[in-house]
Amino acid sequence: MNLKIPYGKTYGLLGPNGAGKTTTVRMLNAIISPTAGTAEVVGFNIITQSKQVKINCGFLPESPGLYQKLTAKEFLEFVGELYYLPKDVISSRIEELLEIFELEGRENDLLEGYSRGMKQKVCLCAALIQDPKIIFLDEPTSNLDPAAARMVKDLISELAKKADKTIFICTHLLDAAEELCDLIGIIDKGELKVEGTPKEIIDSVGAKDLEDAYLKIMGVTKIEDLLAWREDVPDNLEKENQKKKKKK
Amino acid sequence: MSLWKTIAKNELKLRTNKFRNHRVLFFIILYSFLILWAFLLAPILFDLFMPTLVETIPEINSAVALIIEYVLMAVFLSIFIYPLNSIYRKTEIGFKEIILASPATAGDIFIGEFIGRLPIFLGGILVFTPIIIGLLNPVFNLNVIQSIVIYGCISGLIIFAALLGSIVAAWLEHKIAKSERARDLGKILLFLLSIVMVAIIYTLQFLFSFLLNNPQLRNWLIFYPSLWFSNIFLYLIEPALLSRYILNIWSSLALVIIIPLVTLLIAYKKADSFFTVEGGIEKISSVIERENKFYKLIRKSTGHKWEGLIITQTKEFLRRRESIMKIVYLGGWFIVWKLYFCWFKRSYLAV
Repeated sequence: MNLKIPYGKTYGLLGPNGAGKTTTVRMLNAIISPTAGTAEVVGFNIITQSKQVKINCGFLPESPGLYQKLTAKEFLEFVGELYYLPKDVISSRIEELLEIFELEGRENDLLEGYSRGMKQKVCLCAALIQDPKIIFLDEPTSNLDPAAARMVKDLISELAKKADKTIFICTHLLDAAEELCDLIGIIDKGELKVEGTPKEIIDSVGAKDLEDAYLKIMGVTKIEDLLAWREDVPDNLEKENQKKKKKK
Repeated sequence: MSLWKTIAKNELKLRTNKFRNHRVLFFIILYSFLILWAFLLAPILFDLFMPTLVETIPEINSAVALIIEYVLMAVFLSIFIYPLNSIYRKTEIGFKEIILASPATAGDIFIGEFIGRLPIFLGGILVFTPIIIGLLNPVFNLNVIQSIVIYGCISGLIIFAALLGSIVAAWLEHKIAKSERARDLGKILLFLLSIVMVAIIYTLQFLFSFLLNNPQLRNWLIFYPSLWFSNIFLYLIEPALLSRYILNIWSSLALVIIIPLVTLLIAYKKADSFFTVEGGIEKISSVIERENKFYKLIRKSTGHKWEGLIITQTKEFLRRRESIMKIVYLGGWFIVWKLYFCWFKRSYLAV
């Protein structure tokens, strides 16, 4: 797989479950080591300069675990300290992020009392606290209800427009990718199948939208009669009744 | 600040979250009480009855070594098991991923979390050691140096047991992320360790005289860390007590200093191998292509109405190694009792 992502763009890595999206994003964040090959993120090698890579990247995991018994403020302070930020910088950054993500007034609540959408907001704050140059978002809208998903999508869109950051999104939600991404790569079993802008990808296979293009690229054919299996199954209830009649 | 210190501070915050507004006050009150217990209440309490007990049961002098060894064995094992119990209650991959995405290494997380728990272990040390000293003092009239060495030994024992338990728990968690089968195997390990714990207690209870008359048997257990610590205890109260053991005071001292330090260093350096999120990637799956004869027999022997339910429950039970272990344990327990009953019948009822 070869990827080259220009600075300031929003890149979407699409693919089915188990395609290797999370593994790719974990490797690019230097959380795990690649078994072969290498990569450079913000100019730093992910194997030999993993610390610099981590300092320059923000990461939102697919199922982020939050310490339920910490407040949002305590959690963000902890994450800020992990990035060697001075205390005054951490405080001002937390204030700014809480304001942007509309969490003011709730910063001293324990995280156990937050809704999923609010927890996702806190995780996004954690991913942004060190003001990274590139943000990796692994399935940012999975497990969220439509309203919370809409809010997260809007936040990402705002970030891309106003914050001048490179955003790397892993998702299998095609509508989100089409809406948010400047560039898209489709991955399957660790192999990059196609790459380009959403329009280029749609046009390349003569599809009507990204979902149609994705299905064509992945070779998914539509099953004409999904309920055909019913005709092959014998009517068990009828058989039982016949047996009972015979016994009588 | 080193990142392990940040993680340790956070761990301590989490452990004391109920006292979030008065953390300092909480620690002042807790440790004041524990120090009061250690240096005033416990000595008074044990002085009330121990001298009389020693006079009433003079044989207690000869049994002290055995009791110390077994008590420390049980303490070591129970503290070793403690971190293992928590691994099935929470999935921490999410926390780890956020922390590992920062410049913190797996070693920082492991050591930080472990050190963050030390104040809690310190509480345990201050509760437990005065009991041991209170029990020994009337028999051996311990001086200050001896008391300090006993504190040191118990602190070392508790911290080392907790360190080993944390390493095994982290490794199991790493394996658990790989598959359901690993989770199953982890439960077996917990179950086996609990059985060993019970066995230690029963061995002391039923084979007391035998163990007392054959102290050299303990040489078979020289790999068990609590015995290195108990050797120092024994040497301190009566050097002759070590004469029948393979490990002398110097080898015991070397082991209690070198092994925990080396373990800590290796855990810090090699934490990547047992403390990562990589486990979640490889899934080990079992393939069962067709139902075996046993299940077919169950299907035939149960009526149509209950067949599905019984088969589902039986498969769910028997495909867990943990359940097989329980069956083996019950079988073993039955055999032991049968043998004990036969021996009892032959020895006593025949007379």
